[in-house]
Amino acid sequence: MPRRSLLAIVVVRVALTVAVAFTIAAAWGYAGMRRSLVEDLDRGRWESEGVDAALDRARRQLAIVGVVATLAAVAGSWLLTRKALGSIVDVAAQARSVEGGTVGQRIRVETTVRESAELVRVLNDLLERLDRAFEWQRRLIADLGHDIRTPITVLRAGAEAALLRDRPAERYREVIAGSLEEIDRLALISDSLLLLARFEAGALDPVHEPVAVAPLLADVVARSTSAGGIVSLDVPAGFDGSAQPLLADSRMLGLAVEELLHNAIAHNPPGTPVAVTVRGEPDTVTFSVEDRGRGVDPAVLPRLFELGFRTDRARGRSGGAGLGLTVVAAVTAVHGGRVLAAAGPSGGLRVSLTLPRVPHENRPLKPSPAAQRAGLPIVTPAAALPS
Amino acid sequence: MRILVIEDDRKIALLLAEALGDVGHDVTVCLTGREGLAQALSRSFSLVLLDYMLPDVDGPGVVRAMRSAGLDLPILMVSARDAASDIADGLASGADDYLTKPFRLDDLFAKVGAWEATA
Repeated sequence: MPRRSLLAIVVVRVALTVAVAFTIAAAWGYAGMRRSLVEDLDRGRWESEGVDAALDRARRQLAIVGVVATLAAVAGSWLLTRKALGSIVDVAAQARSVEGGTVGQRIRVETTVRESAELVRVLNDLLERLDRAFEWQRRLIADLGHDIRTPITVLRAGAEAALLRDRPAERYREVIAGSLEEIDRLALISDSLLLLARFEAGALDPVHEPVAVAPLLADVVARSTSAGGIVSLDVPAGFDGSAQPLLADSRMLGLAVEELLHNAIAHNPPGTPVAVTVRGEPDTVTFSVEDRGRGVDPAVLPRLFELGFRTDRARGRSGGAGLGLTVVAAVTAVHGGRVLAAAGPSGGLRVSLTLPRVPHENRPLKPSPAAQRAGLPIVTPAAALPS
Repeated sequence: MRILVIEDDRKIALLLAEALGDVGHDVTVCLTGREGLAQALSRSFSLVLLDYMLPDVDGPGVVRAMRSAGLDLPILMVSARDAASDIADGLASGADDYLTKPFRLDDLFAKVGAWEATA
């Protein structure tokens, strides 16, 4: 579509309006004058030649006045509109000079035109939101880089140190076992990143299959404690023999529980166990993971599931880009479940993940990437769960 | 050379101690910033290997505390944070050098050797 100058559009429209209005007014005035003169002629006040000459004179004068008025309207509207639009031109020039990747840039145009001031405000609000998104992305990448570099450091330094000199076979076994733990750490990070990428793309579709809960949890706990964490696992006897098994994506569920355990172990005091419990209701199954750490400020609990969010207790620690609880929220959302974070009886953090035993046709909508960044819902719609 | 390693990742700390010990250094390991600061103030070391991210006081905080206490021993900051701003912050706090993870042991030995030569 061809684009035209706003200034040209306004000037042409004002001039046309003035010209049309003047023409109508002049035609109406001329008709009235002519009618009056004809009436006077009928009454014998005028000679017919005198009337024709007067009408010719009037037509010429009206035409000249019309042209002058239109030209004056063009000039006047051009001057006034150009002044009014000057601030928009300044805004456009400053907006063009905003550079990608540089935060803190704002448009500074002083204007008395209300619409221009509103435009400046809207653009600056947009720049502020972009700044926040850019900073969030930068921090997430830095934290992820840290999380990935740490296990690689252990792998490289471990292998190099082992090769510095001959060592007992037991020491080599320790190095290999330690390397496997670091590979598990890297696998957890890559699995979580892939899952979140699919979730953001709206392509995270769980496979609903009967889940053998006890073996699944035992496997996750064994993997999570290989680095030294202590976990107490409480699965009611005969849980997997119930008439209505849990239908869920066992791989996603395992990843979510592993992330919860990884997070809990990282914040648990050494030597104390992280508690993992599972409870079944007729229509739901609830998994809870509770640490005995120093808990989380209740004010930030609603933000725990945001991608990249890290609590004060996580800051300064090695590891933890803030992926884990977002993975948990994503897995819960695509299963139509709900996840709740709260203080546990010991003062630590307890995260409870409740899934329906049978998937629902009307699953909650997957949050858009923007909605996710703004804060994933802690609790998916209650309607998604059987009452 | 007596080296103090302050590193909260137990595996990395023990690997550093093992590797540096293998090449003849006397290594003490601390897993927190406060513990490392206490060690540095109570014993004599020739070099400190300091992680940037620690659970209590971060690396730059530990460096500033050491410098404020009058310790002028060389400090080599070792971190997985490799952004220019992190390196600048680390050096601005008073650290003498910066090594990013993952590193080759040969690179670490070269830096340690350089400090040993100037000692």
